[in-house]
Amino acid sequence: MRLLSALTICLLLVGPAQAKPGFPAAPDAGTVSYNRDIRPILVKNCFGCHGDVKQLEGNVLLKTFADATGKTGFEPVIVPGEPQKSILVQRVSASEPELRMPPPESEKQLSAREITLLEQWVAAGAEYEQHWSYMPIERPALPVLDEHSDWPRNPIDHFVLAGMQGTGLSPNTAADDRTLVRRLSMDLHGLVPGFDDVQQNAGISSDDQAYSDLVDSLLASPHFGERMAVPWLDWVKYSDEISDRGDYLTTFYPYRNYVIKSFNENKAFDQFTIEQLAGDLLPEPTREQLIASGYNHLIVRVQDGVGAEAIHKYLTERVDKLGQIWLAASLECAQCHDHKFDTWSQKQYYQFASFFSDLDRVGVWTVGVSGSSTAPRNPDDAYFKLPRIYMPTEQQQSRLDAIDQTMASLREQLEQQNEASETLRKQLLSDADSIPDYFGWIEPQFTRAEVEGTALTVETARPQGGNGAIVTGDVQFLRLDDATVPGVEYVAEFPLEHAQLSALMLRIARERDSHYSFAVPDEVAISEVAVSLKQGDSWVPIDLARAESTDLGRFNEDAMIDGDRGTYWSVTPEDLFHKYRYERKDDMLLRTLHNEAFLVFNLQEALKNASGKTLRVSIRFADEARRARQLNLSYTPSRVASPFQKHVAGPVQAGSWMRGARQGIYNFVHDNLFFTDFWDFTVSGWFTMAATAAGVSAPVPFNDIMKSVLATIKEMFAWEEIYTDHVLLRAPQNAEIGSQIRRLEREKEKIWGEVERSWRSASSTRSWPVRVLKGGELSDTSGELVGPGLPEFLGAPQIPQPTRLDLAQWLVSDDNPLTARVMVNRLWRLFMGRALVPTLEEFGSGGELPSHPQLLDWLAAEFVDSGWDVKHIVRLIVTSSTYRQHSEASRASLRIDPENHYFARQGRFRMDAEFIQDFVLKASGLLQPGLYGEHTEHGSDALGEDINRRSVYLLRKNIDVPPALKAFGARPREKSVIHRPESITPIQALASLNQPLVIDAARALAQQIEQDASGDPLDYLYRKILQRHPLPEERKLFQQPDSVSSEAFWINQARTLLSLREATVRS
Amino acid sequence: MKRRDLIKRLSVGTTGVALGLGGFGQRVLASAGGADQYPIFSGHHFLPRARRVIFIWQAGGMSPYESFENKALLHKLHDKSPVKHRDACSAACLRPLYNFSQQGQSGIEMSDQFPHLAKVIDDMTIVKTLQNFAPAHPQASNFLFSGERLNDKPSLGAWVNYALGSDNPHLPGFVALGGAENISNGFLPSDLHGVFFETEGRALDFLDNPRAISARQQQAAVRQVADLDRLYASISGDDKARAHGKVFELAYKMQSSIPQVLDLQQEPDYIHEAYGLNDESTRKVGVDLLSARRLLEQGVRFVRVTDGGWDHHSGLDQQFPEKARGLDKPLSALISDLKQRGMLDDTLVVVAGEFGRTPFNEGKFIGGFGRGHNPDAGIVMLAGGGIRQGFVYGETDEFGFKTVKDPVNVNDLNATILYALGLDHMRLTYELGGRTFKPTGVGECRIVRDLFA
Repeated sequence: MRLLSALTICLLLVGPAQAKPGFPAAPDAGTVSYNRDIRPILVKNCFGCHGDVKQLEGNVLLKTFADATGKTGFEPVIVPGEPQKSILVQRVSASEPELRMPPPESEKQLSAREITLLEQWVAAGAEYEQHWSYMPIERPALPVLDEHSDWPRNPIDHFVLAGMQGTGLSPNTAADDRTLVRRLSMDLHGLVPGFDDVQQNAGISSDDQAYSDLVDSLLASPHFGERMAVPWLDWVKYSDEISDRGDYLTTFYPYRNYVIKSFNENKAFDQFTIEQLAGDLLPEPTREQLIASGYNHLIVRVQDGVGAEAIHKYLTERVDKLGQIWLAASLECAQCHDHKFDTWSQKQYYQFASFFSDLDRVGVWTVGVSGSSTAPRNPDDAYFKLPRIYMPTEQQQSRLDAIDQTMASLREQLEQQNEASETLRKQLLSDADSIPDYFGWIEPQFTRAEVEGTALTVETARPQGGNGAIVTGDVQFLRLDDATVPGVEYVAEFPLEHAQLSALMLRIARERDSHYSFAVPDEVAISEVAVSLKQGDSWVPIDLARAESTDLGRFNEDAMIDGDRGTYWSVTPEDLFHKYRYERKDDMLLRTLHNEAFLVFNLQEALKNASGKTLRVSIRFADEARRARQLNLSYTPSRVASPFQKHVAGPVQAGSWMRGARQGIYNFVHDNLFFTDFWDFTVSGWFTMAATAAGVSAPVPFNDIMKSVLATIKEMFAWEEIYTDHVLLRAPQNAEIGSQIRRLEREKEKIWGEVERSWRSASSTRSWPVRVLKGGELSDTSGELVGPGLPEFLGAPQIPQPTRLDLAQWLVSDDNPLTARVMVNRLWRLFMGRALVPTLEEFGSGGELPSHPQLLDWLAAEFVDSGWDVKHIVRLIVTSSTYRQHSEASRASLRIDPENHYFARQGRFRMDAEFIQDFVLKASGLLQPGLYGEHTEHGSDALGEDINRRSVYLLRKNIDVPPALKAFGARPREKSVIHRPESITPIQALASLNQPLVIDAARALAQQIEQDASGDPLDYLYRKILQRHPLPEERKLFQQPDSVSSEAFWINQARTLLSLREATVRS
Repeated sequence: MKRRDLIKRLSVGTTGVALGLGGFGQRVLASAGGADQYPIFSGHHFLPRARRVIFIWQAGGMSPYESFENKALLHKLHDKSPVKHRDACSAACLRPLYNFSQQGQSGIEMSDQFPHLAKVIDDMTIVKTLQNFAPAHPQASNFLFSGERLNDKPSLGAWVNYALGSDNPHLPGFVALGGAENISNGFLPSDLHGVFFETEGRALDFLDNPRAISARQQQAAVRQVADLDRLYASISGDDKARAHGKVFELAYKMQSSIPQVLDLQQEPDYIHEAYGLNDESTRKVGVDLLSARRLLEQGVRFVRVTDGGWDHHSGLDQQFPEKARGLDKPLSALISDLKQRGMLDDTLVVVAGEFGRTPFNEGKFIGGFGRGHNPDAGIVMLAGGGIRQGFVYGETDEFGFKTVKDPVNVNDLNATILYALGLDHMRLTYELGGRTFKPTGVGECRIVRDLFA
């Protein structure tokens, strides 16, 4: 029984989607096909126990031809061409229950038809095929039609008609004029047509030329782009707000407008793809291409994100989007493990991630961080320089140029006036020793190389009395919290492997445990460190020359080697917590949070021939009483200055304005340096000891680092300008010029604040290292480091060091069969209500099979061959006879094909949320016509001036969806939304009846009634809202106005009609 | 999920038999929406004990040590760093801050921070070993409600309504009070999304009639929409038009039923007093729990109440008493009230955070007391719905840090909640993208049958 339920569980978990019940085989049937006929049988019935090496029954693996025929060491259960000799066929058709497969307890049983299919397949050679969507696209020939041969208008109809053959279905009658005009207008513009449009196009159902002209004019209208942008913006997660909190608005609308414009200009889809993923990498990218590349920054940025976690999150969001939009693959799963049913490997996931690892050099811009000492001038630009494109107008540019010119001449004047200060300037610029004074905020530190000695493994480390861990055979020899035990002496013995030894380094690291909770002792206070070497049976003391630390220099390190237990060196949690290491990498300064302190003990004399000997290090922690006493003395002269402090005394003897100048330089650098915070995951919460032969030369090369920092600053910024701005301008003698310059600067800032901007991608020479994360766990750094790479199993070219541009170009190359199929499938759904592959976002083996594989491939081939011409494909679809069918199903058609797999009728579905709002606006005459631009608001209580334009221009946030849109199925944009399922809920009814916009619209209509000459208010409302006249039986359902004002009455009637199913259903 | 497959599985199930209990779990239209795939069956996998659930989420994670875990060792080692393996603990221990005593006939040991709860402790089961799979709030919350690490997977309330539908067509079957996180329908039909009601003020967007519209006009409009939709359905053959008209009638009823259900003025004074509505410190949770009780009474299947603010990394000594006080009286009142109304028998009350907290003092770093996240041992309080009375389940080590006996991970908890409702989490499944999703994530988990009387 136990085994039984385990088996059931296993089958439940691995059984992928099954073929639709009652979905007879194969619109384009022929011989037995592995993908169409066999694979679903195997997946459903066999792979549960015979599909994965890790969970294999009876050494039978059916995954590939080689596995099933015994070529890979598994049981040969298939003999190609000979079903009778094939164990597979024998077992599935066995009459004895104990022999039959699948076994009875699996609750699975093959049908006679399935068994026959398996037999036929084996007889035909048991050919395994690659998964259908991964096979190259080949344009199929048009099927030959036996009947209805006058029906097709274009090749689409041939395939659809061929699919119906043998099913008892035949094409539906063509739709009438009004239905067609409404359908085309809703499909191509997302707008309900006007009554006039319907009238003017009377007769199109029987006049192909007129129909085609209408299609052309609709495709040429800019409303086409507004319509097509709605799903695209869902896919790419477009948002005017960049966080998950709802209050970090940013300027991104140029990207939204780019999308609308691209559809309007019928930009080739391959180009559209490339510009978004890698517009910045194109040669001499245009402004538009850079705006397009903002695509990569349509991600949800997090607050409090620690650097690496945030970068990881952003990378995964980009990979998930790549999978959802272009590959129809739920790559998400491969973040933690190889895809269970598909060929996508975990490694490939991180190879994809690696393509985007160049994007975040400037900042893991953390929402809410305000490290800036000056308030950000514009919340858009807070703290870090963001990857932006700025687009000043001509007028703005010319004013900016003029300001620069004036400022330059003022500066020159300033220089001339201040020749006397040349000495001061020279001193400021050249004296490296003076720099720490300006940049005192950068802490002294060791460089990485200097502390990387050889780690010593402890033989034993034990406390001398008192509690504490005894450690043997580990590099980590003393636990951090044991160091809080006062007065205890720890003795650690290390066998040496060094021939020579000149310094010891002690690393104290703060703990980051597996639960992210921190263990923090109050203070680590060391009073004495002593070192001795074993000579025979005795321990010979070794003199220490000097001790140094990475600490801020508040304590004298030599207190640890002065033989006086009363003096000590100490490090506090704050010190350990907020340690940064600054490095210069490429064109940026890198700041690493490293959570550790280093102590270096230089030996008086280097040890020679030390190898094989044992070193003893004893560390005595300051005892409590003394610590308390000493803490009280914290500012007495007994606190000897650290070696670093001698550099800190500044040379400048100027007045208070000089302090302001220094502060100014500090602010400038702090605000403008490019920092990236990296979290160092190596921290352990333990002491480790390392030894070096080279010794650590003192003083620690603080100035070298400072020089390097200075060099960076000098390269990155015009140092002279900094000097002028922050030193000379503040000098009292320059007050007048100073105020002029500052005024101009303020104006400049103001103009820049108003300049139109958008996000763009910007590539760094330094990429974030990407590794395969075991179990998706970021803190596990044992996985392999990977670079960018394209999927080999799809036959992608394996080029060395591919870039985002290579990725984008591959997506739309002949090598990748997915993009074209994925896109035409989604276009088909927009205009037919049902996709050829119903699982729009999943073309892998977990998805459903295409209902019309040949049609899909024909369309995909046509798409590619037409030069990725979106309007061409749309035109093909909407001018086909298939499209022009009526949506009303006959009883027979409903019985045979309830879900419309065969397209023997048009689809009937409600318009998307945005278009429902647009309908309310348009029907009532409130819709404002403007295209593109910034954000619109809806309703009479809107605050702005830009009101009642189409909903695609509404401000969108990642999480909060405008309530009216949300009611009708618009989703948050945390994740790519490929498809919004249609539902009918009471919340929608409330939105239809009660939202203020509907009342605005109803009131507008009621007012128009008074102006209307026809004298038939109900007819007026029907024409405006439903583009027809009311039927007599409908008239009966309306009463005449009673004693209440007729406006109130008609407001209510208009509201009713605006709420009807018919009004927003596209049939 | 194909309905017929499910029914087939039901009929040959290995552990349970489909039960059609008269009047219980009858098939009810979950919403008059067009989605016809659910409720997916009319029977149950197991004999149902409960027919509705209230899940009170102590968002942030309540400390066990200030509630039910009185560990003597922590008193001994207070402010000391215990000698243990480095993985276990490495900071100074923090003793339970409050006095413990045994309460009720059952003698369950609990802190003095829950004096009201002590009076109903004999109706409750305390699980001390709730385990989660992630130590950080967002992922842990995803796991707690959906069994999945990633967000936007169906929440438990959506699953329950997917299976059972609602008992009241005028109200959503899955209501969230106090917070709208983790109530997604995920891939399930979108009208299963939890509906967030504000409990003070307007409950829902667009719930009120527009200013210009009188109640009579609203009623006329709704009737007209339904009539015209029906007419359109008969002319066009668009069946969904009928459903469309129906939801307008439903919406109209909701317009009066929701404010009515949430109108606490209809409750007598003694109930206001019992739930702590007259006291600022207990009012918020009191309002939510009383509203929840009224919703449950009206047939809402699953109410999720968020009680946020339990994430006491610091300030434990100030904030814990406030939080405990805020919950203690209203929760105790809810249990007594349900019992008094005869609803406790078939209402499962679950109170849990996404994880427990550590025995160490994290707050020391910034002064005061505080505890970190501990996904290895957290508290769940359970009552009603066939749950054992006056019972403690699960044991932790001497620090209360690791579970040593009877772990209950979040998937076990959800499997058990479903079991109480008569549902087998292994057979309540949905196929998507080649994977069979169940409410309890991937991997194995168990129904904790021991929790039931």
